[in-house]
Amino acid sequence: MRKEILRLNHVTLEENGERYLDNLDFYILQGEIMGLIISDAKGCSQLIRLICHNIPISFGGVYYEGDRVNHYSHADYTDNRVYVIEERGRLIDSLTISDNLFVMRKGFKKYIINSRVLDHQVELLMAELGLSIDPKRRVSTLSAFERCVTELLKAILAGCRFIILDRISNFLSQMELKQFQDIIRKQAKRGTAFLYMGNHHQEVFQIADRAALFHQGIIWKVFEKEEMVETALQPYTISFDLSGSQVREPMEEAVLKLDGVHLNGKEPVGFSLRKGECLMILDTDNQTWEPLVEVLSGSRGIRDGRIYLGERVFAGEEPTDFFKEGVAVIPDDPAETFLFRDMSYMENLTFLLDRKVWFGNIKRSHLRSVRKEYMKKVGPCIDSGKIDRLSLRERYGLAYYRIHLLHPKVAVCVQPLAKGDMYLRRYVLDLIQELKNSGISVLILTSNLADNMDVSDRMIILQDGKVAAEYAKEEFYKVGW
Amino acid sequence: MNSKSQSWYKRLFAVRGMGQVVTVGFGLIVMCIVFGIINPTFFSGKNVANLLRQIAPILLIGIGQSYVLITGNIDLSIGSVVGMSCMISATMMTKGMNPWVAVLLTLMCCLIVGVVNGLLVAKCKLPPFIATLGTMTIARGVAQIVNNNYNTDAIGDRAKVFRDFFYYGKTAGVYNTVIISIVLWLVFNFLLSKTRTGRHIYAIGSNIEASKLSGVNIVATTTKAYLVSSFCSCVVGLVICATSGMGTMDAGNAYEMYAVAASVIGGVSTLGGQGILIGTVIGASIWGVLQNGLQFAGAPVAIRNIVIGAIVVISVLIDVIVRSGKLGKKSKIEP
Repeated sequence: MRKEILRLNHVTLEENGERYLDNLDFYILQGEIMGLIISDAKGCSQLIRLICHNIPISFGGVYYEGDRVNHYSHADYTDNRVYVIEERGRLIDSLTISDNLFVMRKGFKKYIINSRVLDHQVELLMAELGLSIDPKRRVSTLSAFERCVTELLKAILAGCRFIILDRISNFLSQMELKQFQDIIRKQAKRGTAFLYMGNHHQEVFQIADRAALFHQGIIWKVFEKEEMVETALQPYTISFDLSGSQVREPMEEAVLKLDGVHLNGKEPVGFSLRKGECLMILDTDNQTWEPLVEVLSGSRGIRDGRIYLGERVFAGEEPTDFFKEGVAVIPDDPAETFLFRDMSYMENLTFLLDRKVWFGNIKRSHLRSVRKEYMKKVGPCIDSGKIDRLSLRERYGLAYYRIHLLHPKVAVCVQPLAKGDMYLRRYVLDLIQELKNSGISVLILTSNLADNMDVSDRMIILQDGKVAAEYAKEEFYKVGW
Repeated sequence: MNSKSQSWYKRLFAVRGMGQVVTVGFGLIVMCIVFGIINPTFFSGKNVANLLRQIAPILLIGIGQSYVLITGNIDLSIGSVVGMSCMISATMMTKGMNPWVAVLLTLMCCLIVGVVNGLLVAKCKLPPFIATLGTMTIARGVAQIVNNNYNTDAIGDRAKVFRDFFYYGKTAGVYNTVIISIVLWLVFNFLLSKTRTGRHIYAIGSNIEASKLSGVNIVATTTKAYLVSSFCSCVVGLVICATSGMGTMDAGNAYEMYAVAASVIGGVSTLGGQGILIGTVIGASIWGVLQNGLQFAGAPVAIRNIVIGAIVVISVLIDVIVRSGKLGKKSKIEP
């Protein structure tokens, strides 16, 4: 019989009068991969903190490796030996892999460091996982996948028998995710238990031995292996079908065209985006989308090839201000990186409006007109003095509507569905659809399929930095998780 | 290029921050050649020995500042600690105290400043600029008050051994000041590159949150860095005391800026987490060579200051440009 690693027994957690976990009841066995499908992210961070740090709970108890470590009557904030692999990461960028694995480990006793010995040990550990990453490499030079592997090794070396994987598909590409999942399976067979948290049920079903549907701090249903099918989940999810919304057909005229542009791979990349079209570029190995964003956001130029924007042609290594030319980039996690915290909603919304009015002079009548138009879309939050108190959904809306108001030729959405739960993803899809409907061409750059397919008219798959395949909407069924 | 030399080259540049050190080192060589052509006495044995003796104190305070900068902080109290060290040791020696006991007590006083700096920054979470600005003023005040607002008298013949040890004496034909700085460089370089403390210093400068999660004692590590800084400043104060044979209240004035310059020219990042002490050697050498070479070339002090200031700005600029990879060609925008 397998040993029980973690048990949450009717746990209820409240913070500042709000209930984040409600009667949570589940267990994880040794060597098991327990999936957690995040339908609504409320309570996720509390759950992780609860498992790691035994924070006070309002009801129930937590058992770790058979011992009661937390109870509603008494919480002592002790730490359980649990490692969390998440986007933020716990590695030190300026140190090597060896240093991160050994020297930055609690309880590392040796004062004088023999790098050769440490490097050799890392090589052995890597070989066990079937990998060969140079242990002398600094963490800042590692890819997302290599960082994840290093974190996993760090967890193993720290003696953690339970690891939480917090929405790793947000930063791993499709290929990297598959590779990492293989390593997780191997490690699970060696007895490590995993809590695999993911926004997408397809992703979780692929790896988990059991999976639970987590919604607003409640576990709605636990799926056994044989129940992990699309139909079993249908009663609990919302529809992502956008067929009911008004859809404008794309025109043949290309608004943005890349011709023989070298981004990161050996082969040049070329594609065209038609007017009013939504084109999804799926970068399966995370090699190309970042350089492409850098080029389109004016941070770097191109070595070879040309970029056509309507009638104009751009080439050369000097960065071009594509924003001036009508290309607006909505970064990943726009709620954090695209908005100005100290400005009001209207100031944020109309931040780019000066480019559209005479001499940049925004008159009160302009503001009144914008407020009237967008009030219908976003509601009373438009009058918020500061955006700090807005919900994530409202901040996403603000970011997308700012671009909607600017009305550029092309809107580049970077990993639009990487963050957020099912409801937020659905809302983002609506926002992208709205951009499309207003005649803006949309370029989605993503390393994950997620639900981007629902809004896209065409999909291009990039692999090893070159175009590997292209699918029209009716062929999307050929591409799956 | 054969495989052996390629691996040597690769290994050299794999060392963190070595790229900038090599670039700056090349600049140093060019500078030496130019000054040698302008005035051939630049390469005379006497001048080289003197030059090394000028570089030594800058190197020492540079080491201290590098430690602190790598943790992502700054130490503005270096100059005042130098002055404090000079005044305390000289005052005690003029009062007839054994020079070595005076050195020991001075060292303890200076280390207290290091501990206070470390605790203010890491424990009390004060911005390092403000915390060390405060201790800078306090240490300068101590330097002034220790002999009732007067420079001390000459430390006298009893302290001859002290003066020889720190400044005038030679070992194997090399001035002791140079030997002291080399020994301290070796010790602190080993500490930074080969020990757990060294890794922790880099770690907290790179990512303080991840360091906490990895069990690094932030307060202890930051304090250690400030301790190294105050220790080096103390030694420099003793060297100045030995040089002038008396305690001067304004000793070490603006040395904190020299220390920052030596570190930054040598490639230590002001943002923390990056830098190597060999770079500080090059940075301090550039500083010394410029001072010495421009003096030989007959440039007034004002010009020397302008040149050195410009070089500090240019080295940081080059660092920023190289790191961001913004060296590009002109675009060709076609209609």
